[in-house]
Amino acid sequence: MNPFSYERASDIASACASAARPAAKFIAGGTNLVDLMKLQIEAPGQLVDITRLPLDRIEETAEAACALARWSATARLPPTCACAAGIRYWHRRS
Amino acid sequence: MNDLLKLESKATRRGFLKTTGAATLVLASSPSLAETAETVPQQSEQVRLTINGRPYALNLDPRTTLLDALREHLGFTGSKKGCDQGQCGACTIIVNGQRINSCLALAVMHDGDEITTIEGLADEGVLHPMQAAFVRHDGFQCGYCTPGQICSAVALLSEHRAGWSSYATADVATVPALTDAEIAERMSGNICRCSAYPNIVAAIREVAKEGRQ
Repeated sequence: MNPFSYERASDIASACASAARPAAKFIAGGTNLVDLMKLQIEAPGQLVDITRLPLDRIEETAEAACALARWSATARLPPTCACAAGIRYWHRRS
Repeated sequence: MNDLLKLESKATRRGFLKTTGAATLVLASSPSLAETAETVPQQSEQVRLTINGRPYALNLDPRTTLLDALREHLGFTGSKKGCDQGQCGACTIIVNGQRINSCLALAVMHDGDEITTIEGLADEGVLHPMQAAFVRHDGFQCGYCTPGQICSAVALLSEHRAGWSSYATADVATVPALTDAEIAERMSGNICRCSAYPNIVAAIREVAKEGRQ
């Protein structure tokens, strides 16, 4: 794995600023980044860790839902949630 | 002869591999390789981990995975490195109550986290119910995947108790019964090359039915 510098983002604004640098990448779970870094398919110079930012809240917005929520958490959305039916559909298909 | 026997009994497989491995490395590494390694600026991060209830502090290269931190830096060699690509599950450990592939986790990202490895499941020499069930049901052959299988199985039961559904669940809005199909699906991240799957499922089924953990 190529060397990289590591930074844990303290808030969303600083995470965005850090990730705007060339060769910087966000890392969350890392399960589809660390494996590629080991094979040197990905070689970021800087990793910005966003796992501790409060981004796992599930809410319905016009644009997108649940940015950092785990897939398993979306399966447990209450049936009253308008997006729940759509997500369940994807759970069965994926 | 007696001395030789004593020596042999002290020798361990791991000790032998470490000694011969180090000798091979010294022979194999060229001076130019060593120079390259020195010129790369190394960031060192302090990482504090609680492992099996005890605190540890380490200074690590940010590239160090949680698995390597456990195995190479702290000597917790129970968690195994199979594929090192997150596909086999041999490295499964429990972090803050949830199972993860430690080979794909950077140790630096887990600063302050609570970790349970296979070494932490037994209680003062008494096997964890899941360990005992694996022994009873012969849930292994070579045993290489077993620490990951057992950590995964322990976390599986808490996930099920918390009402998590899986791909095998017909209606994800309900709390499913832990059928063999559910167990197989939920254990699908742990590969057993010896194919001890029926016995692994039997062991987990038994512990789930007895409600023990």
